[in-house]
Amino acid sequence: MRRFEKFFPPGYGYRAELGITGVLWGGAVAVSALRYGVELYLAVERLYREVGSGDFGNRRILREGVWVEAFSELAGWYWMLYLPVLLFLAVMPLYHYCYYRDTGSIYVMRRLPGKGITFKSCVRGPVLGAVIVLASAVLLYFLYYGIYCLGVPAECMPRYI
Amino acid sequence: MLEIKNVSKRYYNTIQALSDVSLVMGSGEIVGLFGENGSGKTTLLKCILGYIRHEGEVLLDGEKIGRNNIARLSFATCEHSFFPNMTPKDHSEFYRMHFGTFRGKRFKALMDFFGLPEDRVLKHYSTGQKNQFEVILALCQGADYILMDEPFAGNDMFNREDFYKVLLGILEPGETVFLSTHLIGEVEHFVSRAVVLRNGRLLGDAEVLALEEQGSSLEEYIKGIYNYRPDRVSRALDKLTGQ
Repeated sequence: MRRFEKFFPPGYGYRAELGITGVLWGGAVAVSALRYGVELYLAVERLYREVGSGDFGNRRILREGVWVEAFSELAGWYWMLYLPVLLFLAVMPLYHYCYYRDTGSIYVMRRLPGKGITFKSCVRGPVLGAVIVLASAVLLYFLYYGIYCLGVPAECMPRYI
Repeated sequence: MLEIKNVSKRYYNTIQALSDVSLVMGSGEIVGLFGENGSGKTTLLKCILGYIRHEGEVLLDGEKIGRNNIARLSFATCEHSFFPNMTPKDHSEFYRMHFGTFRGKRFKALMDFFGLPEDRVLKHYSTGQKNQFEVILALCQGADYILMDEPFAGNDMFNREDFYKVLLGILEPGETVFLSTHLIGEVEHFVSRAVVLRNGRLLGDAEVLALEEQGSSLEEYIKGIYNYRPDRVSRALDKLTGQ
């Protein structure tokens, strides 16, 4: 855990901040996975109808002339799920600066000869966090799109994504 | 040389904290800054360090104080300026990393002398220990000008006595101390010069040696500037009691 120290102001209790970020981020990933999984399942199910019954069991065939919803419709408000964690990270640089003010250590930070040290120490952690969150959101989005392409029969793909 | 030229500071456009203060401090001086509460001592120190905006200018060897020379100033304040969740050891690493002139030997010696534990986080120090550590950091930064704002508030007299003696012993000829304090009697034999503020104005600037030659004490000098009347307490009590 000490390897995260360099991304935060000196002496700052970053564990709580990491914890909250993790919970918000994990929540976004879990909700998006659950919601998208359910939406895709239901969308694909709507493509089939059951035929036959009896000793040979039920068979399913594709309904004619039916297309699945476009991926962008199924994904819906996917990006909004990441808004809480990104807003949290956007506010944290200010909180870090307040830490310096409240502890009095701002008097030391403002005497450091290096350029922008205080600013960098306030934003480094949140910026890195935001980059990781956004990168994971983009990767997951493409993962879901891959699952969509694999899971939907070619003949039922809509004309637009 | 530290030159303070016509420094003025007004808070909220109404409170004139400093008015046209001009002062020059040479290398190696120990200057006491005196004045009643609210006279502008802390404001003056913060203006010198560039912590607050002000009118006038502060020059260090002819240059404005900025990133190039700010490390030549250190600051010890009764508000404390250290990181409370870090240990002294962490602080020495931090200072060593950022201030190329950090005095590691002096730091170790002062920590040992005052018996301060190096591996305890500072928030678990007593008030007196925190004050001591705050001053140690200011002394060990490697600055040429050491500004101290009532650094001994909360320390017992033995502690303070030790500190004055240690300071006199370890300060190098090129180190200048600018010390704001109310403990006039204690620092009289420690400071070489006294600067007195009243209502934001610099009303007194005298060499302590010169005062002694005139047969005056530092306390008398400051009281003179403040027109202190010895009978003001009894007059106030008389007024209160209706006598």
